Amino acid sequence: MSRVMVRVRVNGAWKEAEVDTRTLLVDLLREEFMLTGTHIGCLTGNCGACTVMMDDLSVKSCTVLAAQANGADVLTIEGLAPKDSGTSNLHPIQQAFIQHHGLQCGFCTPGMILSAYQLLMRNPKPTEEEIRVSIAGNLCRCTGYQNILKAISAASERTLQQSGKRALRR
Amino acid sequence: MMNKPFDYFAPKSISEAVSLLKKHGSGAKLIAGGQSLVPLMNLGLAAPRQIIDLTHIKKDSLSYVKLDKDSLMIGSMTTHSAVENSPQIRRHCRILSETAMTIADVQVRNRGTIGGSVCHADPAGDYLAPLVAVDAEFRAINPKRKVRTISADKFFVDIFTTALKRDELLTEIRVPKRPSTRNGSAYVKHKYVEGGFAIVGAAAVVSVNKDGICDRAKVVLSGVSTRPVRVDMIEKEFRGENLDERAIEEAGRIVREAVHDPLSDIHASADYRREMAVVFAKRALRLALARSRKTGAQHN
Repeated sequence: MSRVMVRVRVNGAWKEAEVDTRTLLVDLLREEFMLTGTHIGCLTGNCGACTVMMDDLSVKSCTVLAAQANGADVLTIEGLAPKDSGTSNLHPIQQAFIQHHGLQCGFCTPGMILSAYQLLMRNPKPTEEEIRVSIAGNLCRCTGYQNILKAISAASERTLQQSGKRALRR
Repeated sequence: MMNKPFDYFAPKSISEAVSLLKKHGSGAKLIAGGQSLVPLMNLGLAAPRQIIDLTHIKKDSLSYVKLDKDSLMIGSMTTHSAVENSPQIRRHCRILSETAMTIADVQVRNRGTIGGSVCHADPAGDYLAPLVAVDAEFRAINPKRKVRTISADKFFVDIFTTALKRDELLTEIRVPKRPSTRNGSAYVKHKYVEGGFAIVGAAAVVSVNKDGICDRAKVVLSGVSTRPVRVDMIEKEFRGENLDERAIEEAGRIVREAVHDPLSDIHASADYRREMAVVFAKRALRLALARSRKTGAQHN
């Protein structure tokens, strides 16, 4: 019983794998499903680089056993933009991060963007304070956060101008 | 990957979960949201031989917020986010929503559960002080389906140690309902970094009569000792008194006396913790008092 069968809906498609019970959700995504956009930083739930959406809630995938995600609907950074579509089809949050220089080395970026996604899905027009609270669980050692705040704020304005939540939903 | 392998079980019901606990004994560990346990396992600080996962039990059997005539009932698998956002909890036990908001960050609150947090019984856990202050009761079930009720004050025994027996599972936390007027409560927390554990967490619950005289004033502290510190002298001293600024200063002196052997760690020395316990207990009392003087359900 030290191996377990896990079936997860990842970015819209059901996938399954038989894994060691010690496998974390982030390991399942990266090593079984080859979705390496989700990063591993600390393995202690501090840094937020491994943030993904699980059943419409942002979680740190290094603190979730793969077996606990059995049956869950998972959205990773790869699911935000259509595959191989180039920069023109990036998700509005991703475009805003580029436009406002919301990343430097890029290591924290997938987690930051998923945290922003969680925020804007619940609260399309957040205040600056609410944006700060939303990324409190994501560490960035490069940017000093200011441009990340600008990017999330711009993504909020842009999607509101367009069709609200529908422009965000993946 | 974690060093030590373990067997994984995903019971579908509460009775199946407690049977597995009984069968596997002391090497087995229940996992709820896993926000404390999985990091500890990743670090090699915990290595259970069996993991019994509660996340696949039918969701509404352990994750709910309900009300009856006398109490607010919170299922043990209710997440911190749900505690933070539940309209019933905000209305009937504001201090718990306020506490949930201060826990870690969005992702941890989305996944971590109130039952998991209290069963982990980290002395710096945020729920400890407020649950003792509001006279919460914890309900646990064993494999014979016997339900036992434990008061919050008796539940927290020591560092990472609760009054639960090996084969018991915490199912529900009950909080007595209070009238919405002339009751105020507050939780304030001193942390070393955004999202960090409490160096001191201070919970205050105050009731005043129609003349503004104190009927009840409870202060309980998390983070300062191996278990929550109840500052009972405050209640004895101030019942029937007018809680003015002089009384709050006196309460601060009582807190300093009550915290006789504070914890000391890399974030705060024992002396600093004691001083901060005084400062934050006074802040919590002032805020609870201000809320008790405002009428209306939003402020109890």
